[in-house]
Amino acid sequence: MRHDPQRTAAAYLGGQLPRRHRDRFEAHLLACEACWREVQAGRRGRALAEAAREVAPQHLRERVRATIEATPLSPPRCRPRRWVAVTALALAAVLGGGLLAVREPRTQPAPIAAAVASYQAGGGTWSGPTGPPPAQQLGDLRWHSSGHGTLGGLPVVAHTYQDAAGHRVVLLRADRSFPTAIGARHPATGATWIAEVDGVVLFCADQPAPSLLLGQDQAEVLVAASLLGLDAAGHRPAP
Amino acid sequence: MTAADDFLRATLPALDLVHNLARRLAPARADAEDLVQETYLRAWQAWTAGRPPRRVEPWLATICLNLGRDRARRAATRLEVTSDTLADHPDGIDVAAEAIHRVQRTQVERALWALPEPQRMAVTLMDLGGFTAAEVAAMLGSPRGTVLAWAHRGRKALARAVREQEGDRHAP
Repeated sequence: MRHDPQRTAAAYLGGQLPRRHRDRFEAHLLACEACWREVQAGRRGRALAEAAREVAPQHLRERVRATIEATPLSPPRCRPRRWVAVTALALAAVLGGGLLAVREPRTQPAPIAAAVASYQAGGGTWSGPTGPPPAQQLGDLRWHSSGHGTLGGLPVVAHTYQDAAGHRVVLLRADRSFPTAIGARHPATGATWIAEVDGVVLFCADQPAPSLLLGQDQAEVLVAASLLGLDAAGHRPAP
Repeated sequence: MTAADDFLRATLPALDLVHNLARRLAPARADAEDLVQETYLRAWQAWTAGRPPRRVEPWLATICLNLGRDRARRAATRLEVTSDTLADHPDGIDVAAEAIHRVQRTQVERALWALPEPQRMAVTLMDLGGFTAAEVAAMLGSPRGTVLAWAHRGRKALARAVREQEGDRHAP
């Protein structure tokens, strides 16, 4: 075997040498200064790295728990089997398509439909001035602008947060509760809901103020909700 | 018992691991905690969509790693360690031993952040996460020998950097 102290020491410290090679290398270490130094430096570095290990703070543990408990279950994705699809098509052909009639989608409440349309349009319908935003930053997103508007007859204040890459979350605040979106999912407590409408994720909470968050990424929306304290009330486990 | 209880019971024991990994992916403590939360949220979404893992730790570590790298790319800024990000350790007992430990940990963290990212990740996953070279190779998408070399070079650089910092501290 070629003498390569760095490579052999790396494999030795990584527990990758077979027993026979390990025994031989350990005997070799006693006589080879270069290999000995490699192993010693590697061991010291590993001990230092291990000493930097931290215990996760208790508040982080509680935050993770609260986030999961406030996030409703995703509906299971059932991929129809091929033979089921083939059978359905055959039945449709036989029965003239009557069994596979597509249900007409139900219409969203006006404020929800308007909020989604406004988000998709880039939120250009708001006018100022408003009070200060509830936060200057939500995770990676920075506060961008705020303004007033009316969504399906519901007066709201909108705060827009975004980053340089174009990720955007809009917080809508109202004086009364937002209607529940069709298809919304509730956690066990029912204090909040989450829905996806036309590719936009919506998260709604009534506490501490009636609020509706809109974004394209569910994780981003839920992180924003958590940072705004929207999902905390009624969801945190008893101490 | 609810699905959330099942998920938390399976994954919360790995919180320290995810937290330590996130601390090596985001230098500011608040950013690291956001990353931990997002990791658990993504994991929960996968869990409820019927994709629970065979082994929780490598699964969570991989999610955290991908999210952390994605965030760094989006930020498009070079991650820098400031004294602020290193000084905000959790409350501890202010005795001499703790102070010495803090100084050393700060030195180690500074040295870790000075490593090239592959070395920092290899050292973190193997020495802090306790993963084998084969597991880290799968997570990073690199050959096992390369991971071993990264970890070894990273450890040596870490030892050297801390020794130099100690030399600076004790210099007259």
